[in-house]
Amino acid sequence: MNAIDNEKDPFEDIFRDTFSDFESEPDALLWEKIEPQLPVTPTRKLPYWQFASVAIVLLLAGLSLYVVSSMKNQHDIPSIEKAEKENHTVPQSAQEKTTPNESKAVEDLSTSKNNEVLEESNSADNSTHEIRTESNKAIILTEKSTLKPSKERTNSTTERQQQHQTVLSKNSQKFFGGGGNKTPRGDVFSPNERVNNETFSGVRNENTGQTQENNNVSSQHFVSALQPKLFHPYLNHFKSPKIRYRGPKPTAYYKEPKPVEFYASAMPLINYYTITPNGNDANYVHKIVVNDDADRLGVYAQAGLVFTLSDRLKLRTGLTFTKTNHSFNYQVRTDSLVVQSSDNGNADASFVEVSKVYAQSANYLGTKVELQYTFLKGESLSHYINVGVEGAYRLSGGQALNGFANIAYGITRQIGDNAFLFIEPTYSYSLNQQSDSNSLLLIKPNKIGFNIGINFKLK
Amino acid sequence: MLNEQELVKACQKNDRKAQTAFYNLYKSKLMGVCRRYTRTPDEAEDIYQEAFVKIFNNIHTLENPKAVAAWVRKTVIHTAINYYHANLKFQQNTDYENIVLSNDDYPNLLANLSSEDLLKLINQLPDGYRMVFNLYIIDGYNHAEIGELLGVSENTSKSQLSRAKELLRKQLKQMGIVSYERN
Repeated sequence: MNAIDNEKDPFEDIFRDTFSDFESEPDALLWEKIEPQLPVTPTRKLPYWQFASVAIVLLLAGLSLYVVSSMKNQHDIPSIEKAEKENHTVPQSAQEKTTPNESKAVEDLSTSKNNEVLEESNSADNSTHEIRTESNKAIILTEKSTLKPSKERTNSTTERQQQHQTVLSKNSQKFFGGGGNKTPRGDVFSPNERVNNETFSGVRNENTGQTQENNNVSSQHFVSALQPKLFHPYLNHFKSPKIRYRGPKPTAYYKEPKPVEFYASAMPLINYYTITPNGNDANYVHKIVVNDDADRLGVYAQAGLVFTLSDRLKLRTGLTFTKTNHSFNYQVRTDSLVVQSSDNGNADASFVEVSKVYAQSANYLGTKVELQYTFLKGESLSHYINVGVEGAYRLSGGQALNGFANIAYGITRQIGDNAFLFIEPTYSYSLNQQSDSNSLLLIKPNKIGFNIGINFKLK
Repeated sequence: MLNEQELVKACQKNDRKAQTAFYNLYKSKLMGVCRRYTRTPDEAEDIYQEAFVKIFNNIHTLENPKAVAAWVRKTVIHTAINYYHANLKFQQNTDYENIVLSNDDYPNLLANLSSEDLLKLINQLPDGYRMVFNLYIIDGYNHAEIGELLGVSENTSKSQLSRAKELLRKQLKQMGIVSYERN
């Protein structure tokens, strides 16, 4: 520029050299004034209904987890309760049989024996104590069986002990999963913790800090200890959490918006019929001739929402109203038939030609779902294909439900800040017939139309 | 660590961290430009703020990130010119004769003056002269471009530059500097 054009001037050179890369440190506070004025990427606010959806999903998930876990507990607890009940019930009945004298004797003996056993249990039986201390939730099923102190009662005692042992072995089998017991919780009981009943007789209940003071309790039997970790309903399902490191989350500077649009359109249409013989009647129908002179025009209006699924894919759904007028003449000619009579004579039934008029003015109210794929995006025009299905209820002319498969090729253009005009040549194929299913001919009201409408971007 | 082009791309996506880094990269250079085009530091700060907001608002229009340095400089200069136009009616023609710089400590060579001393001389030029002087001598615009930017004729630009230089020489002479040769 000028520096090249002009002659060298030392005066200018000094200024140029001094200030071409001149720097001056600005006040640090200036950035604080500038920063609020800078553009920022709009953060998408989560609409309230999305919050509500998330909350509902979480609530349902929590409820289902709770229900499942409580159901599991209900499955588990009865088996234990039942076992306890049985353990309690049988000795009581046995106890009832004891005489008052026996009871007194038993009291004396049980007290002394309890003390002995307690000492023995607390001092000597470390293994029992350890197990109970570790689990802290050992289930001790108390057996209310009676001990017989005197020799006179040896026989009855022996009988009851046998009865007692039977009950215990029954219960043990039940808890330890033996004897074909299919209770899944049987796995929870560790075989290592199966303890000899005698070892645990008279064990002190540490949870209450008091000796079990059942009046006639003479022995307590430790049936089994539960492992609390295994017993927990959740831990069986979430034993091994899988944590995967997926690396740092990529920073997304810009998130493509997925707008929702409202659309409304109207389509003048021409009915395009397919007329076919009904089932086996095809054997007799020789020819169908349709005279197209009559009315076959109609109109189709629709409105709804368009959801953006991806850059090129949209979902369009809405309500439709169709007004069609069907009126046409058709001729049906049957083939000639040769009928064999009973006297072996042949009779030729000549063909019949019938002229009919089919006229129906019908209104449909329906709903449709369509997928819209934009295959060409231009600066001004975009081209897309629309494919979808429609269910329409015929309001007049005999109420019935009709299904339609729609396909359209569309062109759209932006006509305002949030408005788009679209034009869609559309073909609508009827999935079922409009005429009565028992009629000679089945008439499907297909239509071809030129749909014109507007999309309004809502968000 | 982002290079300059990546920084520009991040700024185009309005990444706040990138904007901060970009600001720190250019703040001193652009304040230097602002100081040259204005009479006072306050005016320089006004232009500086406005220019940076413009830069960040329009950086998405920058198609070639390699040219970012020239683009930001140009943006600041244009902001200064707009400021000059906006305040044209309030500008007073300073009587340059009355501005007296002490010449006691200055050697008699222009090249020995510090950049701050030279900046003071430029700052005290009348606004129109200062604009033309900066645009022509330092930023390399020709008179046709200056005329278009300032809304004056090419000849006006030339005469204003001539007067600006004359005023500067006069001031320097008062300071005892008559030689413009380098050491």
